[in-house]
Amino acid sequence: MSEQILKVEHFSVSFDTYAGEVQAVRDVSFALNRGEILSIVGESGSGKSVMTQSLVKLLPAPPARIKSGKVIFDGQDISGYRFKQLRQIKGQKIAYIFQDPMTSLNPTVKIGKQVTEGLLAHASVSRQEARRKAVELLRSAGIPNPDKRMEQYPHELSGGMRQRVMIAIAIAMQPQLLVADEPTTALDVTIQSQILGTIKDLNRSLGMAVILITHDMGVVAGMAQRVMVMYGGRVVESGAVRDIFYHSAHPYTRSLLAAVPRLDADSTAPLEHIVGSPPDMLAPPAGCPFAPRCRYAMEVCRSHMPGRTELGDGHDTYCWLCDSRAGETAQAFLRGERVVHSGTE
Amino acid sequence: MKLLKFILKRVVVSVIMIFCLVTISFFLVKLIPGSPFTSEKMQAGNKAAIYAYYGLDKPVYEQYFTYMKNLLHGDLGTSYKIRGVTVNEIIRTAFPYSLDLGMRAVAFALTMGLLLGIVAAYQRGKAMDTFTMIVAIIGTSVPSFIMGFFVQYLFAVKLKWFPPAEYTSFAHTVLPTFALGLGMLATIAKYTRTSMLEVISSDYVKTADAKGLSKFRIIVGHQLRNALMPIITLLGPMIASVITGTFVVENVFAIPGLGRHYVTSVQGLDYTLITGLTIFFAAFLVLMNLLVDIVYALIDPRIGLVE
Ligand SMILES: Nc1ncnc2c1ncn2[C@@H]1O[C@H](COP(=O)(O)OP(=O)(O)O)[C@@H](O)[C@H]1O
Ligand code: SF4
Ligand SMILES: [Mg+2]
Repeated sequence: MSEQILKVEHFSVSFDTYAGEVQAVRDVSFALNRGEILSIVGESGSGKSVMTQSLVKLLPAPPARIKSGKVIFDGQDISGYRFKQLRQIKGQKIAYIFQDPMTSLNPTVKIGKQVTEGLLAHASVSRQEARRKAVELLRSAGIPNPDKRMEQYPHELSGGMRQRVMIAIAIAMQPQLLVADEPTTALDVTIQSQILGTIKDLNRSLGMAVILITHDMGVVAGMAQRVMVMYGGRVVESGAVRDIFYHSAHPYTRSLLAAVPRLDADSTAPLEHIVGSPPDMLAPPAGCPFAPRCRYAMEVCRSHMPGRTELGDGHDTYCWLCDSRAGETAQAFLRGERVVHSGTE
Repeated sequence: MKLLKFILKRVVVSVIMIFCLVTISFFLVKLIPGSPFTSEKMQAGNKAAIYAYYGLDKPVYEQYFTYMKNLLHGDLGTSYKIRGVTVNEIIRTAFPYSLDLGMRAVAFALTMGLLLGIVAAYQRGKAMDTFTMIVAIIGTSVPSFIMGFFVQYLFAVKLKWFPPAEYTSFAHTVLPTFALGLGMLATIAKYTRTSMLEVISSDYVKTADAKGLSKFRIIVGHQLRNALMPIITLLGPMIASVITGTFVVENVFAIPGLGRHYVTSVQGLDYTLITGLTIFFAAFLVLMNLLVDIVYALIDPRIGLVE
């Protein structure tokens, strides 16, 4: 059994719109080990949701179109799977929790049915067994009075409770991978840490790998082992949490970290105060997507896409500053950063 | 319990509404210039006798009270124009035609409208979608009597596929049903399409998909269910539009329904018939709306009446 549960290679996703092709995800590659928590960070619009949801083709196509890439899940290339084959993966092996618990449950269907229908779709269980299991799941997702909740509708539950219902639905079949797409962004701070705690516990007890998408660098530090930073549909840096926090080599990652509020401030403050706005994915820049906002941008950045530079221990960055051919000024930026190996693709 | 209270409240409001309507229409018809018995041939003595016979010589408020008292007993009075026939009798003989036509039109509009709307949403941007859009534009912009004349001319007079008038066999019902139902069909198709598209791209459908449900379960259990629910609220206004539609469509196709009586009663200033039919239609409409609201409250848990 391979150590890796998921391996994504050169994955690109576009939307065909009236205005043209929105290149939401461009050439993303990464891998995830079993039981690991990988955090994906980046401003909104950087392609985090589109990328993760396209792994099992959750986006309506058209307009979404997977242009290229391989998705190897548990040793199998699932990128060519059609709807029927993907049903064996979705909900069973890969489960999702979405950002907004107010809209991700069907308002006209009882909680109980929304939990049991997943069970009935995959396991050959009777309705009663499914019900019993659903009550159990709600309880393990931290929902008090699960019996009563079964009979309620989503509007009768608070945001935090609804997100717990989503967790119960997600873990129903003990998936090997949970994709939690900003699961706490819409919730208030105390509920936030409880929900994250629940996810972390399930990660430990079920050995379930987690892709945790978040805006919040503070959350990353407490949850993940590894971080992947996305910008303009591309991966700009990835590595172990420690490397990203203390030795980040990419100007974008650094501005994200600089935008992290201090402990004494409100930790939900948005990261948007990096000057400028993300690129227009209808016509993404030819070179580094961050170039228009980067303080260190050089001539080469605007015209040529930076390649991957391996900094060791799985710490990769995509920035011309780290390129071996970069000048003295660029190296100075890194100020004693350890550059083990530099090379471009 | 909540449901009972809701229904009771709606019934009370409905009764008050109908009462106001009766009062307003009773006095309004009196304001129409002219009188039901203006004819050159009529002699002055006759006229007085007729006025006395119908109670029209009494003060208006007294007429009103008499009318209300009779109404409480379900008596809508006697027609001024069709001698010796009560409004109740007219309704009894003519309404079945209108009801039949109306129900056919609603059934036609509902089934075809839903079908078109759903197909258009799933085939977004393709041929069926464009076709639905065209139907929607024609259906909502062409009034039913013009549509009536048009289909009558084309399919009855020119092509002779269907009989041009009367209402005695299934073939007779086709053209009026189409003319009357098309507007509703268009509205339903348009709303269904919009509603479906909204639901298809909603988060909870994505959740259903992410659970690994089958296409069938996703479509029936999550998409159709939610998309079609708000369509029920359209039924109220739709029934209203059918009722007004019957007035003209029945005239075009010479169908002996209530709509035709309504038009002739206004032309002839047949006070009791106008008022009687207005009350009847209003009560029918209010009742239908009440039913629609109750049904909607029963099936949509967000209204909070379902236990
Ligand atoms: N249905 C769609 N049609 C066109 N563009 C889309 C659609 N959905 C997302 N996008 C675009 O894809 C890009 C990535 O979006 P998303 O993955 O949601 O970002 P993130 O999750 O990182 O905030 C954005 O530029 C967004 O505008
Ligand atoms: S490649 Fe150039 S523009 Fe992009 S982040 Fe590095 S220095 Fe800035
Ligand atoms: Mg997102």
